[in-house]
Amino acid sequence: MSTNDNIIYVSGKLSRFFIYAILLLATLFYLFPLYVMLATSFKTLDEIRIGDMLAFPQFFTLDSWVNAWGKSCIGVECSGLKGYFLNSIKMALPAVLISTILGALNGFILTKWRFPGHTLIFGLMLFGCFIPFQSILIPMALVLGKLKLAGGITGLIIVHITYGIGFTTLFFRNYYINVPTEILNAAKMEGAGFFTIFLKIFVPASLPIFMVSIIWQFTNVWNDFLFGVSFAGGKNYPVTVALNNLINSTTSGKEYNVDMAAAIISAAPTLLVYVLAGKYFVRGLLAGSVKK
Amino acid sequence: MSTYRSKHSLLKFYYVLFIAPGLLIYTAIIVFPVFFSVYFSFTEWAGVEKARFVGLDNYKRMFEDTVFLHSLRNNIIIVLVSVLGQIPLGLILAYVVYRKIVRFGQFFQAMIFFPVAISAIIVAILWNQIFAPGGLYTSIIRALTGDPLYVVQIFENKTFAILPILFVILWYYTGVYMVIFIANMRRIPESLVEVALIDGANEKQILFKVITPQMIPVIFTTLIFAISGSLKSFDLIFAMTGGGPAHYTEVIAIYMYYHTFKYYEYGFGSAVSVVIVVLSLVFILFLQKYFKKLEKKYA
Repeated sequence: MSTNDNIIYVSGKLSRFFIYAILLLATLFYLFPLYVMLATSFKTLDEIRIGDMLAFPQFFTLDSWVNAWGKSCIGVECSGLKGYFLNSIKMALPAVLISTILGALNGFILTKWRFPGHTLIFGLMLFGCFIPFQSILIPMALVLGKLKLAGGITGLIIVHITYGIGFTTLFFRNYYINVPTEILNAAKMEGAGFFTIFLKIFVPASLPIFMVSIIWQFTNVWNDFLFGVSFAGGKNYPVTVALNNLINSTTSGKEYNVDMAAAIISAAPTLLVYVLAGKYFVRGLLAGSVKK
Repeated sequence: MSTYRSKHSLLKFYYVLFIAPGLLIYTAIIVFPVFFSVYFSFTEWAGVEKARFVGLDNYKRMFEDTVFLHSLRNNIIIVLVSVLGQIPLGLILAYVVYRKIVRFGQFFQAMIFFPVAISAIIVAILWNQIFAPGGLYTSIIRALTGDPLYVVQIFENKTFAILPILFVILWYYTGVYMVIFIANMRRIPESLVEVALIDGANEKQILFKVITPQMIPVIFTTLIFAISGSLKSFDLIFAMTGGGPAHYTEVIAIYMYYHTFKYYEYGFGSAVSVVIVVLSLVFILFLQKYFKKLEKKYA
């Protein structure tokens, strides 16, 4: 009996050891590329050419960061990423705010001010969340062309707002559906109108879901590549497209350190959001997948 | 009465006013275009002149093109890796964290999940340096095989060129599934696990006999994510290899992109996009049928 217990104990210990070993390997596997990226960005080109990829930088330099931000060539233009970084900010801020506000209004109306056909409309919006980008790419390009918005940032903002509405509506609808309707009725009895109820009762009650929506939208808009590469052009590219062009730029030789610094700069905003507000980030991801 | 009425119609006016703009852009830019794509797919059109109706020619040409067929094959492999790799791995990792089998579960979770926050372009750059000629992959193979002259060749092999990409896909997305599973495991009544423990079940039995049956609806949702995500995958591969060399790592979405925005074959590109949508729908409908049966079995 006791030997049997011992065997189970030992095998439990052994398998636990294996689990730890595997998880540690996995962690290394995740940290590794990040470390290489960071280390490479601080190295000089000579050190990269002769040295070991894994070695710690010997002559620590910030040159490649300076170049990536303001000097390196993207196509024929040699002024670094900064302009494109700014494009992404100009694109993301309005797109995130407007799609979140529209999503909140939609969610409010779809749960508390229902009208005939509201399920159909919600269904259409969900459809938009799952449809592959590619199937709307060509018609969207045509619509933007007709509106004279092709190639510019405004066009990209509109595309992101539209594509985002499906998700933001889903977030707010699922949140507001749990707010008791009695609150709404009581406010109506007191004579409060649509706006008052929305702004004074529902908005303050839904700040967490505003965070979720803003973070979700920001991450998606900032990280998008397909819409950027398809609908923007030249100086209006968002940072992801500019980064890809910088890496593939043939005007100068391959400068791994600059490439890596540029990649870290482009990733910084969303990584920061993830570190500071990871909780909300996860909630956005779960909104579509947790069984209600 | 009349004030009530006017107030009522005023409210109606409000919701029409507020839902209208969202709905209008939405219909114009998303719903309407989908149907437009289907129409374009039967035409030959470069965007300037009038679209010329060509029937099923685009589809015929597509399925006779070996590049397309190889792309389709790559997509199907990616679907398989997502479904048979990411989801089971995510489930097991989630279970390890959920049951607190190891310490620092939170740390491992954060580590495996973080790539989700970064753009596919950056992930591609990250891994390209590892698969570069002088990169880490080469060093590892050199150390393993003892051949100091080895250089990375895998991309030159039509059959295996997709392998490094599959690897990165696993790295990139497994965390998403893990986090989804953890959140849903925490919703399972703890008493279920406790009873199983009292009955002498081990961790493996709890995972497969107690937890997994409870997770069937969630697994279904993650499968939909995995399949539709795999069929439209674009950014990562586009930035890693651009579909090359010689179309070896091309997927349907990249194929569509080139034909549309490089060769301006809008009709043909639309036909490709229709195939992507139809494939997703077929997979999902098939799964739905299968999962209905599964849910009945365990309900």
